[in-house]
Amino acid sequence: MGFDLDCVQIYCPYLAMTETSDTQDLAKLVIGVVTFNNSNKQIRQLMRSIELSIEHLDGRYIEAEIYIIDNGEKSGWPGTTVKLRRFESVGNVGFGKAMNILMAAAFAAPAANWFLCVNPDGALHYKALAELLARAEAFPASLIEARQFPEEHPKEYNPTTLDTPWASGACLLIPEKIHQTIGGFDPNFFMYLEDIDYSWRARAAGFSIKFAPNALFGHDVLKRQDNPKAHHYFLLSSRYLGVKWRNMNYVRRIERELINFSLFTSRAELPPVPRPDFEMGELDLSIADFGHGFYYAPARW
Amino acid sequence: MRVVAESSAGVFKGEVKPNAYDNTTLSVIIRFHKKERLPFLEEAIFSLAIQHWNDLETIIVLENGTDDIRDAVTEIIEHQPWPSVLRYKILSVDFPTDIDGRSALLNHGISNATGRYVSFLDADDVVYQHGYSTLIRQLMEGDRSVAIGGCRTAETLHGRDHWFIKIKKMPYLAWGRTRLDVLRLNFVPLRSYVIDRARIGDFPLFFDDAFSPLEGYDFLLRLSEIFRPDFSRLSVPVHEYRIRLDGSNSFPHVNNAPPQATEAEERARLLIKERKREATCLMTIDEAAAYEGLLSERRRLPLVAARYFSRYLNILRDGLDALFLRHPWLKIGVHRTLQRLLGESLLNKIKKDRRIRS
Repeated sequence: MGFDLDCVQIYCPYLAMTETSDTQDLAKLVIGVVTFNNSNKQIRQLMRSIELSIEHLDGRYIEAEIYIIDNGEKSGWPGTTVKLRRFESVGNVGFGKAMNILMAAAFAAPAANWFLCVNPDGALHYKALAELLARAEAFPASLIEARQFPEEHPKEYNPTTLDTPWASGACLLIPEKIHQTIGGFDPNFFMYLEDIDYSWRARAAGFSIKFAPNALFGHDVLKRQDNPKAHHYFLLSSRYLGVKWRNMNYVRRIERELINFSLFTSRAELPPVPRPDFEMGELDLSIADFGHGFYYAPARW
Repeated sequence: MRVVAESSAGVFKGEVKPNAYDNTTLSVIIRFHKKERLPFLEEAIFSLAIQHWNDLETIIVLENGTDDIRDAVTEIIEHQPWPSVLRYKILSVDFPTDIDGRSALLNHGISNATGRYVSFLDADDVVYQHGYSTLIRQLMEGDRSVAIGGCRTAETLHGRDHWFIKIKKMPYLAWGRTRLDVLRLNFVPLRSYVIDRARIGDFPLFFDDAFSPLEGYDFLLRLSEIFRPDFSRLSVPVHEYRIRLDGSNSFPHVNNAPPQATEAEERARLLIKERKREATCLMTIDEAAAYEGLLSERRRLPLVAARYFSRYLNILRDGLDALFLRHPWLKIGVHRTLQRLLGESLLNKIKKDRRIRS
């Protein structure tokens, strides 16, 4: 097996291959990273973890590339043998909008088979990609969520079927078929909850969400400091989610929270809710779960 | 136990010995002995690789380590995304299989550790990313020799090709939060604290296998007799104790254990009791004064009652957690009501008082 300096190629016996090993027959995985003023240390560790995880794809014919866009300052990425493509920053447009730019490029012809959203402040376990792709091959019509480690989200999942109500965008594998059907994230979510909305839309379109418990993504969520600005964006996203999925009781509750947190003094001051960029009329609105607070799903703890 | 209070004692203030452990390295010691538990070790080591505290030295001590186990452990370590220079040691201690060598493994790890800071981790547990940085910063900012953090439990069941986490619980509502409580009760897991070796002078750091399986409590008791631990981070969960509900990693008294294991634990308890009777705890007058109110309060509540009180408090806590899980808006409502009734500043004052007393 020869190494291309620009692109690591690893071979998978599961896919139909010609003897000439035409590059276009290789399955392609694009790893998308949206940065926002992340430290060089975080980027270095993420890069190293991606390299190790790609090296561990032994026996699989996968062409892997990393796509990067900076929502803040230009991030510093160390030299690597993995093919890396940088997209010009369009400013701080939020996670979803920026990730959509990367996804659109990844799924443009020749389309990648999968797109992996990865948070820049985490690190993949070296077996994570192999595990995610194994689940993707077993469940081709599913979004596949990696397990955040050591603190996974407490939402329920079925330990036998691996079904889960929604998938976190921190480390999320999106197959081309799902993107083709429902597109990317809703750009009206600046930050938070675009992954929940995406999951519900995928389910409404007949796809499923699967949890990959052996695909670990090291990501510190336990000791996030209470950040009023982050909470502000979270509540605004919650409000939009409620409006979009037509649960006005929930919307009123969130608006009370916005006022209770002294972010606004009255309902009249609340910013207008953006219009969803497509019609929700035909979707199964019963998929949306607003009965479990900010978990949006039954939770284990 | 005798308590001796002195007006000043350099060793209590954590006097730093010049040039001793002139580094900021944390040596994490993990003992390991069963090949089938390699997947758990993998997660433990991954949790070290993603620590916020980068200056780490990982020491794995194998019990009767064979070449294949050594190779498997090496592979696990070298495949982690360490953020800085990788430093590790894989050691092995050989002894007959009918001997409980847990203490020997830890002692061998300690004698090979180069870090100023030392901590211990079970091969089937994990540390939260902020865990060690929280405790080491506390040591750096204060003058104590031991910083203790909280422990969170995760109950797991074996599901389809993985261990399913059924529930996680916040730190134990333990009875204790002071040195005095350590001297009375065993409530601090071995893997939830960090020791600053530069501040313990010539204190012999070792585990005594005569106290197995309670060697960890004996160790902390001996430390606490001389050095006052810092409990201010007790409410911050720094590590996760993973309990396998099939009973394969619980204490003997929790599940059906072989008689020898139960007898060993009974023997250890008697030895601990004897040690406490003979021990002398040194503390400053200020610390003794701080405990005065606590002592008279505790004398009114016998130790047995204290243990039951803690147990039922935990049951109440678990019940409330389950209720709030089913009704999340109820929790927000209760919190709001408490804030309005008590005032936010009073809530913060209560939390601050608890930190000072510990």
